[in-house]
Amino acid sequence: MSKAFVDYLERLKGSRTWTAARAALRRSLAFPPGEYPPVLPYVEAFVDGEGWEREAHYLVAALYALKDGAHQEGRTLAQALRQAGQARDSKSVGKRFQALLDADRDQLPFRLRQAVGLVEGGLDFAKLLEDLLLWFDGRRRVQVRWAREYYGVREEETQEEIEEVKA
Amino acid sequence: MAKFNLLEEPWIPVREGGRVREVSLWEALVRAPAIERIETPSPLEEAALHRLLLAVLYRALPPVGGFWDALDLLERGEFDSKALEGYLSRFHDRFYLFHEEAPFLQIPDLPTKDPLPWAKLLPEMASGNNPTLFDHTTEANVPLAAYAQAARALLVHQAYAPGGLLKRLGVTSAKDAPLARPAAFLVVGENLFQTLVLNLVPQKDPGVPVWELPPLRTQDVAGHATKWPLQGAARVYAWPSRGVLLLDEGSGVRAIAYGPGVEPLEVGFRDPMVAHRLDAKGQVSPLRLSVEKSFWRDFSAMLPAAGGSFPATLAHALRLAEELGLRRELRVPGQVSDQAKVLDVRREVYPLPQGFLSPVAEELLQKGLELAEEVGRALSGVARRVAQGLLGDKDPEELRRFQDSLPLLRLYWAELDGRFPQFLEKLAGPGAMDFWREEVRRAALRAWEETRAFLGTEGRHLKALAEGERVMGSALAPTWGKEGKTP
Repeated sequence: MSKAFVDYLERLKGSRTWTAARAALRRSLAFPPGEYPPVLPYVEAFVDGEGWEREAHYLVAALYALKDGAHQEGRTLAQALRQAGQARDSKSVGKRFQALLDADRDQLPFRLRQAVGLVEGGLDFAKLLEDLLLWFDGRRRVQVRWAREYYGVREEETQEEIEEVKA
Repeated sequence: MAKFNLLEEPWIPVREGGRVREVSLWEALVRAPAIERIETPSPLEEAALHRLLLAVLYRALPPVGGFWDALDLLERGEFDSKALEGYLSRFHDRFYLFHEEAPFLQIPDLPTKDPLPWAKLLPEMASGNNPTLFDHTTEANVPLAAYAQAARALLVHQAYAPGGLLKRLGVTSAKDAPLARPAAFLVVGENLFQTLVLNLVPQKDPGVPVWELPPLRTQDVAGHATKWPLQGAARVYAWPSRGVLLLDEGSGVRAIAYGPGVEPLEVGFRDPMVAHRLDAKGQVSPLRLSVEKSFWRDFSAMLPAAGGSFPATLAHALRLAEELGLRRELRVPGQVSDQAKVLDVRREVYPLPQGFLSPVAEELLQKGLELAEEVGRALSGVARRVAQGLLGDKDPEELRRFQDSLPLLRLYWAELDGRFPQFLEKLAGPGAMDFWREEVRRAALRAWEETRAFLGTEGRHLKALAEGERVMGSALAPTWGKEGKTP
């Protein structure tokens, strides 16, 4: 389902209305998701009713616009942030990532926007939508997976770890 | 007045025909083939009672000279009751719990000033410096002990009293009783008769037990006047470690007179029930139970390949049982003490599979234990990484405390505690090592999952966990079959 939504966004990007749509979607990031009337025509057909599911769609559409439609299948936000952190060699990316993991429903739009802003290159928006839909799962499986992707095994470090553990 | 003869009165708890009852010492020996086993909730009592029965057998039976004698005895299926009767009637008078001249394992004329509560005899009971750990008896209201109970407590105390301050009769401090610290190894067969023969390790000279000697008196123990070499199973198994006199109240025992016993002189004698290991300093020391780990983790320390030695009972019993194809299990009762404080009283039970003694099985066992320890060490690296990830580089003491509070290692070992007996059973067959490798891996992963759930899911926890997991991957590397296949 999230795949279909992103396919739709991709088609939108290819159409003549994209420039206007992109501007409206970017602008919508200043409002709570789904509450900026000019973007309703682009998203509302994909959601029914109220609730987090609706907000998540608006949020992803706006982030997609923010990145100018740079969709790259398979590249998750956590991976992209890790690369961003490595490239800048700065601790602030890590801090923001942690804040993102702990974000509640009110904080999430702002922190996501910040995080996406840090990333170079494309993102897998279908995966992002899928994850956001499960964000409030009691076992926090999405956050766990993100943490794994961000802090997880880096091949070149494995050997050194083994030595350290044995010491 | 002589009272409560241990050869005639019931006081040894046994399981027979599915029920537990008390029998006399005489009955325990003569009816041993019909009795399933000695059955008591106290591990220490179990060891002490077996040792008393064995001490009697060493002296009453024609000496068991070696493997073939023992095999003959096992095949006969019962003890020679004529020999038993001859011996026990000769020393009948020495087995009275209360006696003017020679109370059993006691000193008749101990000063009765400052008596102690009888609970002093048992480490499980709160008294003196025993922690109130197992029981909430207070010294002010000591319950009356039945004679049978007092007799067993006396036996336990003589075998297990930890050394330490005494301050009576000119003796300031007393030495450890023979089993105060080492773990005892008992191989248990299908019935009490088999069990006793399996543990009746041939002795060149079993020594003279205390009931064959003139009764000890206060003057013999005051100022440790009497010292005996700690030698000969019959003597060591019923060693008068302390001067005790049970004070009869007519229907039971509430108090005891107390003093020093015979001082043991260390000699080269090795207690047949005790295993030895080569410690880090190159010294041979008896294997003990420990508070924080189960005994099986020390199994390999006593393997000959590691410079240790099997307890004689285990080596002897295994050969016999193997020859006759008997079912057997290993029971390791013991207490864990720190100085004079008893921290734990425990009994561990393990199966002893056929083929356990083969060099291949021994090597597999050793490898298996090494693998478990290796992964255990790696897991503590994981725990350290999680602690660091969460707390940052705080002071090492705090990190260590947090690390210890993680359930990771405890769960890992607890999980393996439950699986080890199966590994033992499989040792002689094919695939033992593959089985164990998988169990070790699973135990580690399960412990890790629990630790995850334990820690929490805030961002900083997730970060620490993800980093721990990274170390976890390499921690489990040894279980991914680098040793090759099992023969």
